Amino acid sequence: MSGEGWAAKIRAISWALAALLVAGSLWMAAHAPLEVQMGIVQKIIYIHVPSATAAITAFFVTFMASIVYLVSGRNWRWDAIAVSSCEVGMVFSAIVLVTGPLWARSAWNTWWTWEPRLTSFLIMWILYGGYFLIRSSVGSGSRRDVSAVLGVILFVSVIITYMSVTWWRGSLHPKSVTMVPEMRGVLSISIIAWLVFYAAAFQERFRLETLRHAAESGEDAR
Amino acid sequence: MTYAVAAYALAGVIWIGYLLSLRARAARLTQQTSVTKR
Repeated sequence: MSGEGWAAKIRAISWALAALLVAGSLWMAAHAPLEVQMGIVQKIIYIHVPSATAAITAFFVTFMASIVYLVSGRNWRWDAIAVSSCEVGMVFSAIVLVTGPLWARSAWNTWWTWEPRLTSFLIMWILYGGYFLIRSSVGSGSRRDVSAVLGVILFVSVIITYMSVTWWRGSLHPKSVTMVPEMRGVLSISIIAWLVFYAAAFQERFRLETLRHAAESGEDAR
Repeated sequence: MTYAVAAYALAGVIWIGYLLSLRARAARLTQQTSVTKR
């Protein structure tokens, strides 16, 4: 079987696994115990937290791939991994930013508040948006190098976002959450399910980058 | 109830939209590659 044949097979298996796990986690979220004060709105946590975890994982992959690209002979594949992961991370971050206010409206009686975690997360999302803006505006000769440098620098914003609840006072996000074991179990499975979904979406996006490389260079991307 | 349903529905819409955009871009690039190779 050719390289592309194997890649297609792995993609199909990843999607099947992701679909199964996500469907299972949604079913479990629907049947998880109700939180006493918030009621059913609390179930937003089962998509909000896993999406945030997947976004941070995606940006970490971008960070690592960017470093490897810069130190190991500037192979286009590492750049492709970095940009693919970054884009999927942006989608997960968008979901965090959409589901967050729906939670906030019910829990904090406001759609948005400029507390440390929300503010730093929004800034992080805008900065990673800049990654794509700059990537598309620089010439093809330096595009990969500039993107890799940005992929490394921008990870600082992820660390700031992650640590914001510890570093600044007045955060409405708790440092740790106490949950009954059933809820914690559903949350853990949801995190695993969405991480597998990230892996499948990443492979799909990476395929796009290999096609782009083939179209631009005229060579076989495999 | 409405907020929880809205959160999951919006997440679904975002993912469907993104995956469709990936599919469309891949189809365009595949076509571009086949034209280049000709």
